[in-house]
Amino acid sequence: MALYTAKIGEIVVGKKGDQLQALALGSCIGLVVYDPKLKVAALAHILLPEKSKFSKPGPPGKYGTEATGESIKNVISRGGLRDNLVAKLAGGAKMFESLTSGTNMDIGSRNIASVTKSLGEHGIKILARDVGDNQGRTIIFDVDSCLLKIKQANGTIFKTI
Amino acid sequence: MSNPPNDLIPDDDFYAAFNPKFEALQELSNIGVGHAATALSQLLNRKVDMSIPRVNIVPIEQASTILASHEEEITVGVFVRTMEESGSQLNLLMIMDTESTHTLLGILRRNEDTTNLLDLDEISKSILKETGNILLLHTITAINSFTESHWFPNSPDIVIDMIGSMTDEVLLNDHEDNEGEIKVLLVECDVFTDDGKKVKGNILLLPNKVAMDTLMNRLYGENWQETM
Repeated sequence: MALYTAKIGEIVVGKKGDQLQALALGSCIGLVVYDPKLKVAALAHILLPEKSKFSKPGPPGKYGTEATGESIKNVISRGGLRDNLVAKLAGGAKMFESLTSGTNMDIGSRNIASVTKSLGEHGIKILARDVGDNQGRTIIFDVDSCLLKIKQANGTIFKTI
Repeated sequence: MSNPPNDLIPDDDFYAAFNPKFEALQELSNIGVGHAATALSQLLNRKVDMSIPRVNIVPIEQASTILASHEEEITVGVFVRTMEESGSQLNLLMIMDTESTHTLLGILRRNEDTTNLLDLDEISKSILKETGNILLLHTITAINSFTESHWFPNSPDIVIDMIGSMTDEVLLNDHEDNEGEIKVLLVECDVFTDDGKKVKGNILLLPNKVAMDTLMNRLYGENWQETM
């Protein structure tokens, strides 16, 4: 029984009885890849959609393009089965309207697109997601029930997916 | 807020590589925040003292926990995006905690319950947004005249939410192309009004790579990299 927190760029792994959380996600994405039968889960706190040409190697969960693969490795190394894996994700908000008045798509949307694409490439099905919008989220994943609780700034759980 | 613990302060190598830029930004911050404090004094119609701004360059991952006690702390964020020609962008974000917001609204708008930031009405939000806007525009005006630049501001945005959820988006925007680790400049300044009440404003200056080069060229001349 433990509660693990994924800081920006980190991936945490938990088994039956554990809870995984990521605090105050804005444009970041919290991606849970898990084996619902054997109860093993990994939560990645993803910061950016992909590496730029200047980027140095970051922590494993920093980029949407890499986090899925790393999460899969983590779950399997802790006893999960590749064929059982499914995913849930939350985050990717757009907090400040004026940030994207230019041409670029906002980071949140790009993160969502990057993670969704990467999950597709790995053949992992997204069972539920709560993304976009303009509010911060704290997420808590319960490995036993495989439910992802989503909290608002005021501390209330406004959604369980 | 107290000074960040030592392990949050970039190491000597970082300063050695970054020094001229750091100094330039520190000087810009001093000038900018000084103007902002003067504006606040006029707005509140009170004598205002300010502390010397503390300037820190921090990795983006730690920005929210340096600004507030924890990632989920509710804060007010006012954001202004300013642009110059050719992709050069300087963004400003002001963060105020519950206590400072309470103090500010108590002065500008009496009889208003502001204990919970999430329950503020539209008038209070509007007051905060415009106050933030005034402070940030004074900051940018000061930077413009000091560096003979023409950063042009967009209209302000206000967000009241968990600090962690607002910093990453703002800090990341257009900073992805910065080399290596993403670091941002934090300016912290305490402002005291004459009745001893404290308003703490954290202003974040966020030049993108093009803007940083532009600033350095204007402050130190086109060949600054060769002379340092």
